[in-house]
Amino acid sequence: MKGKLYIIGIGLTPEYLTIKALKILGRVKKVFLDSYTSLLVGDGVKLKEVLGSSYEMLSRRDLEDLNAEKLFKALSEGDVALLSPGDPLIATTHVNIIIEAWRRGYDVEIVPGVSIVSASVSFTGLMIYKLGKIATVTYPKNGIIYEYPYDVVKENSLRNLHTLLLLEVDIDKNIYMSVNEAIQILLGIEGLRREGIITPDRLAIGISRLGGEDMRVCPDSLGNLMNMDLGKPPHSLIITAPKLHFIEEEALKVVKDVYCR
Amino acid sequence: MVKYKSVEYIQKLMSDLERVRNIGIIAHVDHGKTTTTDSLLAAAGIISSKVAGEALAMDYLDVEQRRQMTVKAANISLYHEYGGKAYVINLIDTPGHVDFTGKVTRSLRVLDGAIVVVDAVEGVMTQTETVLRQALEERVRPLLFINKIDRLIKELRLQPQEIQQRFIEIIKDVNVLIQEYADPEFRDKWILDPAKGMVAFGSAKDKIGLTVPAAQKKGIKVLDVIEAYRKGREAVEELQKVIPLHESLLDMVVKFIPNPIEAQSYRIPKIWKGDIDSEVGKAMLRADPNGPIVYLINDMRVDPHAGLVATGRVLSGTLKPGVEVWLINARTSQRVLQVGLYMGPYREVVDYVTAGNIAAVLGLDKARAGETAVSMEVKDVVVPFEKLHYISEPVVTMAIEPKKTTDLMKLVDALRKMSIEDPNLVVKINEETGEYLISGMGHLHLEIVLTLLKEVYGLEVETSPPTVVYRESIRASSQVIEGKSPNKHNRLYVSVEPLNEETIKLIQQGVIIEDMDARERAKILRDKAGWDYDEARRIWAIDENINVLIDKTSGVQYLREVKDTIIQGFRLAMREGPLAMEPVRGVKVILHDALIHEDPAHRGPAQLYPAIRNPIYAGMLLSRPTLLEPIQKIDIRTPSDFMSGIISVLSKRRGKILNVIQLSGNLVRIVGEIPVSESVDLANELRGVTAGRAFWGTEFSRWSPVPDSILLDIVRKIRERKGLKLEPPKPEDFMPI
Ligand SMILES: Nc1nc2c(ncn2[C@@H]2O[C@H](COP(=O)(O)OP(=O)(O)O)[C@@H](O)[C@H]2O)c(=O)[nH]1
Repeated sequence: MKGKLYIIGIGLTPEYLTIKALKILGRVKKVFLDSYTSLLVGDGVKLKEVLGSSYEMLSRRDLEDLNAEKLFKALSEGDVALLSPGDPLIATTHVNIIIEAWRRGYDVEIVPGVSIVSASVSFTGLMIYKLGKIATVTYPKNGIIYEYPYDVVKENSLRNLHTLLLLEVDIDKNIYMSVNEAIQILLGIEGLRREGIITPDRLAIGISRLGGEDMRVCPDSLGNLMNMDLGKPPHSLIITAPKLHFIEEEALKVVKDVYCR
Repeated sequence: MVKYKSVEYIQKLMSDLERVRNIGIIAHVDHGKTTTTDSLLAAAGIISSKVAGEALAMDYLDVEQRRQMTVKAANISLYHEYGGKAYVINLIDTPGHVDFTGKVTRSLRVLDGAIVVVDAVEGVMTQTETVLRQALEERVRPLLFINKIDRLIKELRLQPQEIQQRFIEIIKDVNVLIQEYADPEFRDKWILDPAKGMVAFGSAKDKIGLTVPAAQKKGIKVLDVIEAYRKGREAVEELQKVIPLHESLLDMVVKFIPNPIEAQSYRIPKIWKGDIDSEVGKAMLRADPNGPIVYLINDMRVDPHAGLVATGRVLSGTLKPGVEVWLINARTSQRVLQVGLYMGPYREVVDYVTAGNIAAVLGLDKARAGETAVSMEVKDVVVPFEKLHYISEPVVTMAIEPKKTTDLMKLVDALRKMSIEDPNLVVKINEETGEYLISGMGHLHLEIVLTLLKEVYGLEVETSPPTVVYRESIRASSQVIEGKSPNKHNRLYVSVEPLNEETIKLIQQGVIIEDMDARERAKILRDKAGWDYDEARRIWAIDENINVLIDKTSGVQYLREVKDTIIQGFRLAMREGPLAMEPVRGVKVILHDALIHEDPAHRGPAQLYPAIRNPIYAGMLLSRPTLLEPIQKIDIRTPSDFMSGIISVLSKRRGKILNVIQLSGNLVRIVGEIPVSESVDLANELRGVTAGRAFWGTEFSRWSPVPDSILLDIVRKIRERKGLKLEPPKPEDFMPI
């Protein structure tokens, strides 16, 4: 029997799973978990408990280098769900799997989850209308410094937009970039470019473990954030638009009191 | 002759470049280079008066000790008086060994003249020819010393007439080479004329030497020499006083080798690829002590006390301690800690060394032999003398480990030091097995390395059987192939084609390097290798195994940010080709178009390395891939009776005969080629079929495709050795959905 592929977003933590997702998970033959695109914030609530069934982890190698063979083999035997932290298609490259499945004649369905992108708007009180392009800050590799996030911040700032910066995660190597490191890298790029875009006095919001019990959302200057300990990963960072809307300003004060105690 | 000199005196001499000569000795192995150097050091080596007490003892050093000193010194300064004037002659070490020709080219660059030593019995041999050719290409003026004439008298018992005939033949052989390889403007001037005193005859062992003018002046004839040898030891020693070897050799040097200013004026335009009309260019032409510093390092050695010592020639400016210089190849600056000059074989610290001279420098430990160090203010203008010179390439590899496991660190340290001193020795770790691998220029080279490990470092080692290194290449062009990153969000469109012979040669000779003006490079490639100028302008990278990456895309978004990652991916791919994971050689990779994900999280090395590697591999497998094997040139002299035996040994080993030349006295010279893989134990077999009466030399010649009939077999054997699955991959394996 030719199976159907459900590609499902878990949301910020397993508690964010939607009822729709749970229903599907209850009836598919096989559940896979993408174990590499992001770190799932657990807080003691284990995915297994929520699901009530077992799942198989798929590494980057399984999904990318080996062309998702495991997944397609399971699909040839019945319905399959691929779970992904956050939203399955925001800031991932999984769309490729959907395209490939469809090309091979399988039916597909997408089940969105709460993404870091929308949640960071929700938890900070910033306005979605003022959110610009997002970018990932990555570690320099083999001496190459990736300046792309700088360009994105620059473009967004010119148009008075906020920039959400995702920070590099390499789960295989157990590497999670912290807000501190990200700011260091950005200031390093500023040192090369000297365009005055990313300066220590600029207002930003350091975010950690969004959706978890111990989440933190801390608006402060980049200079202060660089030395602030935001706790365990995952982290992300918003560099706010040069000029905030007055409602945003007021909201941020509340956010600071509530989430940055 | 008084050789005890103060450093100040020598320094004063050196500041007048008319009194300086920079020379080397080149010879086929065993023709007498070391013995000649020894006798020059003993008779004319400068001895610092400061260490005169110690030095006095040196005259009584036993031969072996002195020999070691000769072998160890990077430079030996000699003192000579000629026509009532004093001269300092720097005798710079040129490694003469068969397997070190790459190093020879490097050291030739700092010489202005060379004494070519030829064994009177053996005549001109392969290495005489190669090294002399290289010298001429670098505009090093040759002089000839026909050595071991005692053997003509004592062993061959030749008559004066025959001896003379022998000399004429050797001079003719050398002159043929000069005629062929010297630049036209020097050809006539440099052709050796014995009557003018450009050739010396003698015996390095017995320290006698004669030139035609000296013979006339002193009233000595060849007959007298023969007579002396017939009479015996005492007569020879008597003769030594009349015609000492160092006198005829050094007279010749002072007279015919140009001083550094004159030499630099015509050598710099040849050996330096930069702009002659620039300020630096002009300063080098004049050997200007006030110009910017240009210091050409030809030798790096590890001194147990001082650390890494650089030896090289100051082409412009003045080297002083404390000055900061830019190392062009290492791309870093370092401070000169100490400057020295050579007094005999020893280094003496001085305040400065000026242009035209040979200097020893401490502090430049990031430099390697072949490095060019320049003043900081010209760091962006000066092109290096040598980027990666590929004349000789390591072709034989073995795994090595200490007999005692506790010696491992010692071994690693020794190998590190040795590979600094000998850039042709490549030391690598096999990442999977943790084994240390050493690669060299031939079986003989590695044997020498093992001997040194034992003798110098006292290390007993175990080795695997040597394996021959191959190269992977292609014989056709591919269509454009799509390469996808594992996440499928990046796509590179790539084709491959073979580089033509001219291009390979230009890169090998260092005429075309990665780090040069793109327009200049494109012009050379267009004029000399038939390239399309626009394509040549777009070269992104040239790797160490002679492969070229070209960017033919236009207007690709984010390409700038991933350029370096793609280049790194290209280099990695070329290190291990698809057939047998041997290095790739002679492939042109063209990037036609690209689609790059906008976020760096999805276009890092893990995504882009495969995206460039896979289409290169698929393209290669679709383009008549093959293995190239190293071919050695072999040059054999033998009594003609053994010729057929030799020829059959060579042909059995897939060898080819290139030339058979009839020599005098029933001797023939056989020049041929043989694959390195077929030359294991060749020496024994040759000795067998010639009753030990033939002698020969080998050296790396070229890379050549293996015959198709044995290609797959060799591929499987290499794969088996590397623990890969026996069958090579198919193009589809690198073209995933
Ligand atoms: N009969 C004779 N043997 C010599 C003479 N000069 C050198 N040799 C010998 O030739 C061999 C090789 O000499 P060496 O100087 O080591 O040659 P290199 O390999 O060119 O450095 C040694 O055994 C020397 O003793 C010479 O003038 N006459």
